Formats: sequence, structure tokens, C-alpha cells
Amino acid sequence: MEKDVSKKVIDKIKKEHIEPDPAWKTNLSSYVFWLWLSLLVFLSVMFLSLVIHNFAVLDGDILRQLHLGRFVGFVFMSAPYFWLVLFALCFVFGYLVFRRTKSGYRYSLVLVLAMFLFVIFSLGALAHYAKMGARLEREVSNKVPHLHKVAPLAKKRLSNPEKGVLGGEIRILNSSEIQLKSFVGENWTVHYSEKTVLRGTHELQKGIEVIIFGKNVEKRVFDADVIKATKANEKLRPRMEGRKPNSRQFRMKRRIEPEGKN
Amino acid sequence: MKIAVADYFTINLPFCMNQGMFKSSDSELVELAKTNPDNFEALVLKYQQPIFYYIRRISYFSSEDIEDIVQEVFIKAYKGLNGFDQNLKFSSWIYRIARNTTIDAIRKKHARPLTTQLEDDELLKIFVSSTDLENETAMKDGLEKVRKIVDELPYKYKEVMILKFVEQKNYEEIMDILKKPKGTVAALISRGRKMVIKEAKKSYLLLDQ
Repeated sequence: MEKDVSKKVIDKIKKEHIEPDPAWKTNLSSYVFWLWLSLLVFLSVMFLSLVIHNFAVLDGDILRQLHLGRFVGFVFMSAPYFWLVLFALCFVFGYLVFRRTKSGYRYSLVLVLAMFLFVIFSLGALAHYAKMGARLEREVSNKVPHLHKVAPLAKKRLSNPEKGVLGGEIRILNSSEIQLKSFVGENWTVHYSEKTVLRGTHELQKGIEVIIFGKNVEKRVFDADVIKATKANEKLRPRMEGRKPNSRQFRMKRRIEPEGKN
Repeated sequence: MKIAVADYFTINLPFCMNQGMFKSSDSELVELAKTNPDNFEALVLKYQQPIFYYIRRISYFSSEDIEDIVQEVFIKAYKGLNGFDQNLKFSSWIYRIARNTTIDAIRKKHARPLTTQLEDDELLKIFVSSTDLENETAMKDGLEKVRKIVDELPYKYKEVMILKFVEQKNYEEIMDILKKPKGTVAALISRGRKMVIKEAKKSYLLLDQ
């Protein structure tokens, strides 16, 4: 380089009154990236809590009833794909935005992914335990009219009589038969006997939501092997298996029982 | 009479340098420059030459165009002084600005650089470092072939190999200049070397083993 440009640079700075940009302006893009990142992490956590909420319906009882092979198939069949795709998109975009932050390029892929997974899964689990997944599903399904077509509610996806699983609300109950309104709005007759195993409740009652495992014997008729009360009932009727009800639970039981015995 | 670059800078040492400003670290100079543009001169003087040659190595512009780009680089750096991250080396930061400004200039001309302006010894540095050859002088006979091999490397490999083998930057510095993770930098260098070796074997500059 034959010419010294320093004089030209300094002269230009002085002549045009150029000044260093304020810190907020030079860091603006960085702030925008962090804002995007926070938003994407928040959305990832929310979608993950919805995913966990949807999978949480498949608890140990269902695993025991369906056995592992069938259970895995059932998981794939009933997976909340819509929420899973949204979660994956937010996760990937979050990662890419992190890479674009001021020093995001300095960390290794493994470290960034491990950090992301840890943060998002921890917050997602917390959000699930705070019932945010369930609340969000309720709010979203109420406010977005056609969403159920692409993202059916967790319990609706569990209603699949051809595969031996039927979910719904007990409308009429007698000694060997249940009239059930399924989660998708169909009326079913369900046969049960002394051999039918009850789970999640010690007795059947009108008005509770159940998931029934068994066999679809003919159109809208189902033979039950296992009847499981869903977790949605737990607030109304606490589990009594293996422990004595406390006074509050006892009062609730008394209040519910007269309606239940038809 | 043509004055050598080193002599030019010695003869024209500015006042600030005589006051011992050259002894200050780059970070201190940055802090001083924020309050008075005259203090920025020491940084310009220190880095204008390396930046000029770096831009020449990664582009095909004429000396006049490169001088304009160098000026633009230092004006941009001056404007962005408040955003300078003290965790970075100033040299990495100014190289990053230089690279981005050069790429913008190349884009304005709607073309990627097909050839770069590497001196013979710089070409040999890249070739010898890539192939682990010990006898550099032996390669001088095949210089045209070496030039063709290096020129035909994809730009992303060429620029990282220039930084590593010609500018003698370490992985951390290259990572900061290119804003790419260390693993990506290492992979680019490794793939670039493999390409050079493959082409050298095709051109009979290296023997198949």
C-alpha cells in the first residue's frame, strides 16, 4: 500500500462530523435477535407443554393394557403431530437465531443443542405441571374455530374403536351396559361384566369421562376389557384406591353418588 | 523517488505516536478514539496495511478501489466503536468489517471473484501448507499449475485458507472474523486441503501414494 489513508479517514470524520454511533444503535440487531430468541423459546416451551399434555394421557395403565408393541403403535397413531411440528419449527428457528446473536457462533453445535434441549424441556415440563398445556389446548380450541381439524384434542385422538380404544362420557349406566357419548360425538353401547377391570376409579358413575379398551363388536357396540376414568375427572372425584377418603372427599362422594347410580 | 511502505510510515509518524500511543493496547486505543477522532489515527496506521493486503488477497479489485474500501472499512469501524466487543481482538473485528465490506463491494459488481490477487509466495504458502510438502522451492516450477489449483478452489475454502496460511490467523481468530463455529472453520480448512491435494495429484504435482 503506497498511500497512507489515515489522514483521509480522519479528515473525513472531522469534515462530515462523523461520530461513533450510540451503543444501543450498534447493538440494536443483537437486541432484536435476543428478542426473537426469547419469543421462540417461549413458543417452543408452550408447544412442548401441549405435546407433553397430549402424551400424558397415555399413562402406565394404557401401556399395561395394550402391551409394548401395541402401545408404541398407539403412540404413533395418536401423537399430536400438529403441535410436534410447531415445536420442532420453533426449536430449529430458535437455534438458528441463537447462532446469529453477537457471540452465538462461538459455541459448538453439541453444546448449543444440549443447552437448548435442557432449557426448553425443563421449562416445558414445568409448564405441563402448571397445567399450562391443558389450559392452552382449551383456550386455543375455543378461540380458533377450525383448529380441531388439524390438531384434534388429546382425548379425541384417543378415541379409535377400530384399534380397540373408545373414549367418551358416560350418559346412561346400568348393571351390564353403558350408553356412552364418544369424544367425537357418537353414541355407543358398551357392554361390561364382572371381568372388566376398572382403573382410575373404584366405581362407574354417570357423567364421568372414560377411556375404554376392548373390542368393536358391531356398529356402535363395544365390549369392554378395561374401563379407565380419565385424568379430567380427578378434580371432581379424587382417586380412592388404596386410601381412605378425607372428609372433603367423602362429602364430594356423597354428593355425586345419587346421580351416578342409575 | 518511490519510498518503501515501511519507510513511508516511519517518516510520517503522526504526533500521537510520538506521544507513546503505539504502546497502548488496541482496547485502550478504542476507548481513547471514542472521545477524540485524532486518537483513532493510531489504529488506522497500525491496521491499514494488513487490511489493504487482506482485501487484495480475497478480491480482484485494483489498488485504487481497494484504498477506497480500506477507507470505508475504517469509517465503518469508527462509527461502530461503541459496539466493539472487548472479548474480541481488535484485529479480528477490523478483519471482519473488511471482509464484509469487500463482499458487499463484490456483490455490487454482481460477481463472485473468480481469481484473487495472491503473490507467488502466498500461493506457495497455501499449496505447501495444504500438501505438507517440505521442499517449497521445488514447487516453483509448477507455479502456474499451483495458481490454477488455488484459483479454482470454491471461494469459501479459499478465503479460510488465506486467513489460515497467508494471514497466519489461528482458529479462534478465523472463527471471529468469519463468525462461524470452530468446527465449521476446521471442516472448511480440512476440505480445502483435500481439494488442493486431489487437484495436485491430477496435475502430477504430487505423487499418488
